[in-house]
Amino acid sequence: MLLLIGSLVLFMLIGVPIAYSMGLSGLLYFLVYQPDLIAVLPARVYAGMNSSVMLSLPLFIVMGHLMNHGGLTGRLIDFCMLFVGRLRGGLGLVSVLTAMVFGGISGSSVSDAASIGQVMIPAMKKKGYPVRTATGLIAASSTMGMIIPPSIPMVIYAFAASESVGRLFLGSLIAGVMVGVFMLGIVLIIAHKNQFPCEEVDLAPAKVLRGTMEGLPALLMPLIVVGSVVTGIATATESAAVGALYALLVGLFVYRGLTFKDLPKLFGEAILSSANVMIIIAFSGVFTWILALEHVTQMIGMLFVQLQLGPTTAMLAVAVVILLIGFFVDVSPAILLLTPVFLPALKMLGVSPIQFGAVLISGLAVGLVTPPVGMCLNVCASVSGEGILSVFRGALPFLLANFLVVLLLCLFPVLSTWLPSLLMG
Amino acid sequence: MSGPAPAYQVHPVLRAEKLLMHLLTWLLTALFGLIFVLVVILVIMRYGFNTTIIGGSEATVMLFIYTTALGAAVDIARGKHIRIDALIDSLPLRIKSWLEGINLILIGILHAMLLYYSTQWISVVGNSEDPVLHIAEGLIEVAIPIGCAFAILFCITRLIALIMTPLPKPTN
Amino acid sequence: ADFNFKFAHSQPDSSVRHKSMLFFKEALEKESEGRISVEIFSGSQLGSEPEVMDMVKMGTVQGTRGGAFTKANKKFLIYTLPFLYDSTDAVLKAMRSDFGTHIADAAKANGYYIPATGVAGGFRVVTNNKHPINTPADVEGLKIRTPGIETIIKTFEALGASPTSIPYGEVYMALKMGVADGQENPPSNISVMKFYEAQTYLSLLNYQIHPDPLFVNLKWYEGLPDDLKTVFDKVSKEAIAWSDEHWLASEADYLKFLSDKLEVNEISAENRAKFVEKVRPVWDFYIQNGTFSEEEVNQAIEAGK
Ligand code: NA
Ligand code: NA
Repeated sequence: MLLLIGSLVLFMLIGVPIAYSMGLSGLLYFLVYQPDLIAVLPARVYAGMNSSVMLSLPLFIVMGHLMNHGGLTGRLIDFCMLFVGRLRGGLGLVSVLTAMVFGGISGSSVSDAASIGQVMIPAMKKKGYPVRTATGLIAASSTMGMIIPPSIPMVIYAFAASESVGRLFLGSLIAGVMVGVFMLGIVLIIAHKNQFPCEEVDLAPAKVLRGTMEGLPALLMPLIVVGSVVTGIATATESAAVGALYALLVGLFVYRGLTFKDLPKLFGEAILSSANVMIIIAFSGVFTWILALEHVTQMIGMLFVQLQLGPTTAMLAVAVVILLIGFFVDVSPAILLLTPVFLPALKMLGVSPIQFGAVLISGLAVGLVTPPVGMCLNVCASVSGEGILSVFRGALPFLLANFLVVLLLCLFPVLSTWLPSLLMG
Repeated sequence: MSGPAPAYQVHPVLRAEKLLMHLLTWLLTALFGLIFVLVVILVIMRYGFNTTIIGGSEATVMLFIYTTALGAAVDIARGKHIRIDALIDSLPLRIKSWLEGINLILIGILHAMLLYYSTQWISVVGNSEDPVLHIAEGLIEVAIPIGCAFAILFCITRLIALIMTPLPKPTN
Repeated sequence: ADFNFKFAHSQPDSSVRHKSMLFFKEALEKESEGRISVEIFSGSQLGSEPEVMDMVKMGTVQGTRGGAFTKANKKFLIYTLPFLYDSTDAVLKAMRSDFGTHIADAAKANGYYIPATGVAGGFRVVTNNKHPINTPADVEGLKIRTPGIETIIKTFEALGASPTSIPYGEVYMALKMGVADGQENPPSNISVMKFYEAQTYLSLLNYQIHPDPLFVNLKWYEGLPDDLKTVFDKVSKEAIAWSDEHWLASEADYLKFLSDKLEVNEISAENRAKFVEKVRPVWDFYIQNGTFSEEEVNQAIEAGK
């Protein structure tokens, strides 16, 4: 066991890709302890790739690409401007609100950070917001992209936990909205303290109507995608495909930001990004197989019992581990490492897989904005030209919203379990 | 693994690598396009015509397996795999370059072992018939050794590129 | 222990399958006087049912039970032909007969030894929210959710329904939203998944039952000394019988539970004959594609009498 974990950490530290680090440490384990079982290696790698649920991954990715290229971002920002632009700190509030709405459309935080950041960071700079605060705000608010459904990381968790994608999507919806609401509050406070400017928004009925009509095709997206999964009309994969088709049509014929010539490149990029994550899933299959073989889960369950942890204290302890791992490990591999280790033990204590999923996803979202490994941090830093640590410091006040939500999710299971059981029985 | 050195364009091995990468990327794009169209058709058939293609969704997953196996190999060539580079990026260039070489060799060894065991595995279980599509599962499982072969190839070409890339001057 | 028997399956610890394997473990370790040790992995910890079937064939794992029986021998499908048996007693009798042994032994060619075959749950029944089903005509035009199992899809096609495939976890919502009119499952699944909350009628079509063979790696079994082979066979048969008894008893309890929630109707012998006639093309499909012969179908029926 020590060899397995120790070599995994070593391989990851010297820069071996995470997928192959898991494969190599698994290989080492078999060679040393179980040479008879080494034949299982290809079977586990194959099993990880052989998933109809995960087929939604490239489809969700291409859906995001199509939406971004189609000219969605500008419309959404204009639309959100109608609501909060005139308040103190208007651009900051618009950024958060846009990230929230965007969260309901795209499945990934990183793409949200890139597309909103490109427009909003320069705009806030121009209006005299400190660059650090502006960039940090975009980074922090982009966490909602993966918390508010649809969510690619949630699909990965659904795969790792063998749970219903629809239920899990609903399970993190309240959490995502809470992050947004808290963050709006924090922006308001900071804006008043620093006297950030308000925006002039023309609220003439004709303008409002036009802004709404232009935003509408994009706003229908969450209904189509999340609605179809939750109602059982379509599987996660089918809903992602329908969402991508819708984004394609809107981009080509309504927003007209897309041309047929763009498509091969967008599809090629999407499937390569998908393979990038899928190969981690494939090799994590080797890793989790060994964990099961060694009865690690039972050992962790025993540990919880010996420490006399109840479901809430255990959940809090695991949340701390999730936040710590989030500093160093990217979202997808972290899900694949943490789920098989903690979920079965937590289940024994009566924690719902929906609650664990909501805590896991909300907790790992914070990791996107913490150094040294934080994808949203990287993206925002490169958009604004600010250093990573500086962006992180700028994001910290806003991340309070995320920490608070993770805490609440641990303390009150009903925040995550209520909606799924209400709508899906 | 960024910034192609002049040698990159000159050396025939690396030109071949680039060509192969483009070919595979093109193939992956086509496969994914096919998957997308298939899934959309299946949804339309179900709700528009109350019918389905038996084995249609199984076929999409089979194509998907190929995209992962091949795509992961291409990502070795592109140097785009998800990894923790905080430590390695902070090391002196000479040590970093050595570590990159060791990493490529480790990845190559892993894929060589996987290639060997996967052919054994397929020879035992590969003739099992898929219960829906009634084709031998080995036809899909073979995506693993094919992907491994490309991965090993790209580990070698990357090693060559690494050796041929002169270390940038420390003044950089 | 001299021999280790790693057994993996996909059901939870609360399932009859798991409990019957705990019975197996206790009995085998005791009766082999500790020479065989049994290690059980539940809940798909080591892989899905087809994946573990492959592991048993490779010898990575020594035993499993589950629904991927065609990987061992396609002829196991014969037990799943619609309306082949009219009682669970008949099914069990056939599985424990010489005919049953004949089907089980054919799996040796694929590297599996099968000491005993039982049933995986009870007969499958149909629920819907349109009307009670008494005759094949009542099924016509209904949108029925089916799992991706070929015999089930073909059966509902033959009956004139439109089978829709919806993932198991999403069925409840699909029924509630009217995406499907009905679904088919054994009473246990209908109760546990609360499908009854979204349905009105339960018709005891009892049209299909699934076999539950105990798959063992052939080489591992052949490596046992003769006395242990005897013990292993005996304990296997007892464990599967234990499983059959408890499984069918629990199905009966679930059915009783459901009869308070749904309007339940049985199928008369006369109407059952109409169903048998209507699904005959499903039988013929498998006979024509060579999965088994007409003669074997007749043997299967005879063995249950
Ligand atoms: Na989202
Ligand atoms: Na981080």
